[in-house]
Amino acid sequence: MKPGTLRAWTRIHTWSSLACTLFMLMLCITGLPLIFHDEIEELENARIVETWNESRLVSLDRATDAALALHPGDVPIYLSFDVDRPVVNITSGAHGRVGEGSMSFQPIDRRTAAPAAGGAQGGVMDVMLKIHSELLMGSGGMYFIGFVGLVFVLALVSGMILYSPFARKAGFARVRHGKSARIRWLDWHNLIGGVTLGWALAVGLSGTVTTLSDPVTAWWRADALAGLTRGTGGIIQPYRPGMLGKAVDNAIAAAPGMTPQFVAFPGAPFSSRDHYAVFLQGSTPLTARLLTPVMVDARTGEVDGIAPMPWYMKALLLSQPLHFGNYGGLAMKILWALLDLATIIVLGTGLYLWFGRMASGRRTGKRIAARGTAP
Amino acid sequence: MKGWPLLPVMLIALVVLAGLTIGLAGDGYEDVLANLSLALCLLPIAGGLRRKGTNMKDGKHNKDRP
Repeated sequence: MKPGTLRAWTRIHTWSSLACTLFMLMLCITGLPLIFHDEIEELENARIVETWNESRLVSLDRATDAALALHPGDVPIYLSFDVDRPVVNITSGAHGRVGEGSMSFQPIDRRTAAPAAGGAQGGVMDVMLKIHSELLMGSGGMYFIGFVGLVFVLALVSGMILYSPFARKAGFARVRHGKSARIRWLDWHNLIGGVTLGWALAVGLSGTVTTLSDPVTAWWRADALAGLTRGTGGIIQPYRPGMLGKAVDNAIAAAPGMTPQFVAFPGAPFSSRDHYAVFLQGSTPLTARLLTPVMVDARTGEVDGIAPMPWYMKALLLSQPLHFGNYGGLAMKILWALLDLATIIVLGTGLYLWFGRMASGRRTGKRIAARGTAP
Repeated sequence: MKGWPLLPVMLIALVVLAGLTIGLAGDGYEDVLANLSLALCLLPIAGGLRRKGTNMKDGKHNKDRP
């Protein structure tokens, strides 16, 4: 590498790293407990493994009626299914397009049609997630975090390019323990940064993609979902008792081997004025992460359209587990946490090396100035 | 290795990315492969720490030598 090229990459690495270091430190520190959020939440509310008889559960329509009875005047917007208990969660509001803050969330136990525990917001982990994902600044903060992720990727790539001549001279994964503290920390910075590159790229890029979930989902709604529906523009009929169960049954029949993950009622953002949108998931670990929307006519209960997700929605949904590291059991979570700690060390050593270089630059400047003025 | 200084780093990165992707496809051996690939990138760090410990025991650790 020519000296000029090396200087240019050094500048890119220094400034891209400095621009994102403080935010990355915050993301790594808040991300650490979020890796174990399932375990932490289980400690807070001990969860019992539940068993139930499917044939004895109340119908989806009755569960929805029970939820609406607790929120008079509301219309149902979404219904989702809990995985580990026979509970459906009904989100309702004054109308289908009400803001998220004005929605009510009501879990209903399908064994008794009575309210179930859960759905409380505002715990420590929720606050931690809000800091991590949007700096408590809403969607603006989320896009900023996405930009920080891109700058982090630039810092990683430029760091690797700079590591190349170093590794040629010193060898891979070598820490010169006999040298000064600064050289030792430089070696650790290079070693840890180099071996965690793949993981850091995966987490950084998938995090950036995840921050784009709102505009990507909005695009999907306007593009693919709108193409599935043929809205007549009439009066929205968000809920007709007895129709929900039929809609879900017909959707499952139209896509054998799939199970419902959530339902968007007519008039909801993920549906149309005249359709129930039943979102089905596959049975394999990979297809369970991808959703297939089935549009069911709200008047007849007949399936009107079905389409797999486009590539950009698949990329969005698959980027989430790659960012959270929550798909390989506790072992993966522990490894994820160790790699998170390793990244904190890389960021810390990077700052230490930069401050050291600044101080050394100042000392040299003073010496030159002293020589220049002294006789 | 000298001619390809980034080869080990690139290999580890590729193995990690492949392992993470394979892990998405299943809950059995796929997860084991994903976890092994993540453990692989921690091995050189563990090696570096071990060498540090050995050097300190041998008295080779010379603090702040320029």
